[in-house]
Amino acid sequence: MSRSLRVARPALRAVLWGTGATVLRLLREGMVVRAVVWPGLLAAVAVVGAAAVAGQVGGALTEAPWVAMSVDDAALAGPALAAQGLALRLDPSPQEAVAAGRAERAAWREADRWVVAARGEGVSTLRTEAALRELVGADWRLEVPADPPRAQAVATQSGRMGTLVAVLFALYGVVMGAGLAWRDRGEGVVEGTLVLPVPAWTHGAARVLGLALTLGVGLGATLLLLDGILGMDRVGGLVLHGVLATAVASALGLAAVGGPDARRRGFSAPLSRALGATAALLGLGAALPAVGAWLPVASLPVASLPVASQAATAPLAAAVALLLGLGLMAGCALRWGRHHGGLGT
Amino acid sequence: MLQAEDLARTFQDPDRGAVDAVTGVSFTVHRGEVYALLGPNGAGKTTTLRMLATLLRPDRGRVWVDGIDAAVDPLGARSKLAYVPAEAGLEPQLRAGEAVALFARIQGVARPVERARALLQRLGAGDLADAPCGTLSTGQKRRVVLARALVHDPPVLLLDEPTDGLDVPGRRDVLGLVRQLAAEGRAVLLSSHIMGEVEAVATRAGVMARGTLVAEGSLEALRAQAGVFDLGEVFLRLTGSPSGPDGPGVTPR
Repeated sequence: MSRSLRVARPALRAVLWGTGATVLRLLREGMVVRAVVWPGLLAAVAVVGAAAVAGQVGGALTEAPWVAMSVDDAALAGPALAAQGLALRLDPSPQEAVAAGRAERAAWREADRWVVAARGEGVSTLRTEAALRELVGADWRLEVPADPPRAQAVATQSGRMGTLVAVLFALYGVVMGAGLAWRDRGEGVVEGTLVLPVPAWTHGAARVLGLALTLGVGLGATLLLLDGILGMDRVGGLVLHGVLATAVASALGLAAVGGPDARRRGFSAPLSRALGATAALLGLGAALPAVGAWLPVASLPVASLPVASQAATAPLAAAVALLLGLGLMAGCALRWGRHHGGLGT
Repeated sequence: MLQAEDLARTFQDPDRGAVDAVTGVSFTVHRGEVYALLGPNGAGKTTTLRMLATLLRPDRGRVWVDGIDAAVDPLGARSKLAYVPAEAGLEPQLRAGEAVALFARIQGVARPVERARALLQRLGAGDLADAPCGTLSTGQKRRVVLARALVHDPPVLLLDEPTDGLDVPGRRDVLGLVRQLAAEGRAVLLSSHIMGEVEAVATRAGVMARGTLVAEGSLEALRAQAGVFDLGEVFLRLTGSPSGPDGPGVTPR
């Protein structure tokens, strides 16, 4: 057997079995399971509850948009405005009503033309104008699209909620990766396993993959649950970039705290640096989507943007972010091994 | 079986600068022999063991494990040895049987679960196989760590203070096991600063002080070299320590 094969097979076994052991360890920690399960449950309850409150209570409290208008004018324009979903409120002096702030918008006839007055902008004002243009057969008409159906509105909101859940999982990843590295070193687990006849990086890779699997599956299941209950915009992209961000963030936490001089550097400072790097990447994606789309972690906030605002290169950017993310995870595993390893690394 | 030749290692200390932890240590441990590495705290015993286990690269010198040059083929050397560090820990969430079987699986041992249970049984920890490692006592953990180290049946054993933290029955059991493993033909190197256990198991001993091997040989030869019978006194004379190997409270046998 060649030497490379003699090294590769035990290394592969170490990564596979080590990953399984890491998953088992994480799943047996009640804190990890609770951390993975709660965000999904809370998000689902929050969105369903908000939708129910908006539907039952909000409907009763929210006033339908209305237009102040005189009795004579209302008789002329009433049906056209009603067709646009606008109510009428009779006022003997609609022009004064808007000027005095008693009405947001008003319309009246002035000689042979209609006048629309409004305080500020709004789609209801545009609808008023569109209705009156239709009424008089003006040279050009104004098209105001109808509000999206409620399901679409909910999907948009649940998409935003899903992005928040994915960000939370990425931050979990940093903390859990750092915690795993710290505990393993403090309890002598690292020292006990390094003597195995496999390269030291395999132990780092097993921890990175175990964290990525546990948190990635947890996040994927949470997002798909939300999608199943509420529908969610762009759930596929969110799952892909969310799982990638979580995996990379876990690797960053593990590598930051898992160094050989970890005891001297302590836990908090390296953890803060890893959290800071993750937050900076997330912020970069939110502030500069054109750049963030190409980078792991930073691609997460970009994934929740509407399709219309995505660049044409989005699939290529996602592929690059994925490759960079995998490279970063491998780099963190190698760094962990280099810091802990002996001659066999 | 295990040979160290002119091992040396220097560490950079932020406060003290370059610290020579080990300087030019050479010895050989033969098949069926228990070799005790003696020395006070800070003598360089653990650093030497870590270099022998290929976990630390020597600045100078060579190590051969069962004929394999550790510098040329460190993973091959590791496959021939078991190293039990003093601080070796176990994954607290895994059960004892799982922790041992994991090592067996990684090393490609056939029927890993059966092998793990058999080893735990042999070390008197058969009833611990299903217990989470986080719930084990120090002595129980030590047995599981030993079982894990022996899972691939290595010909060379490196034990760093193997009875550290154990109660009297635990020490007796571990020392009995060390004798048994050597009797089966393994080369056993253990570090210790407890004279009683060295006398109980060691065939030969090397005495380390300030990073160097100041004396080496059978216990009788060391006594003759120091000119006293009491092994604790031998230790004091050879190392030039101001106190006994285990502190002033030690009562050498």
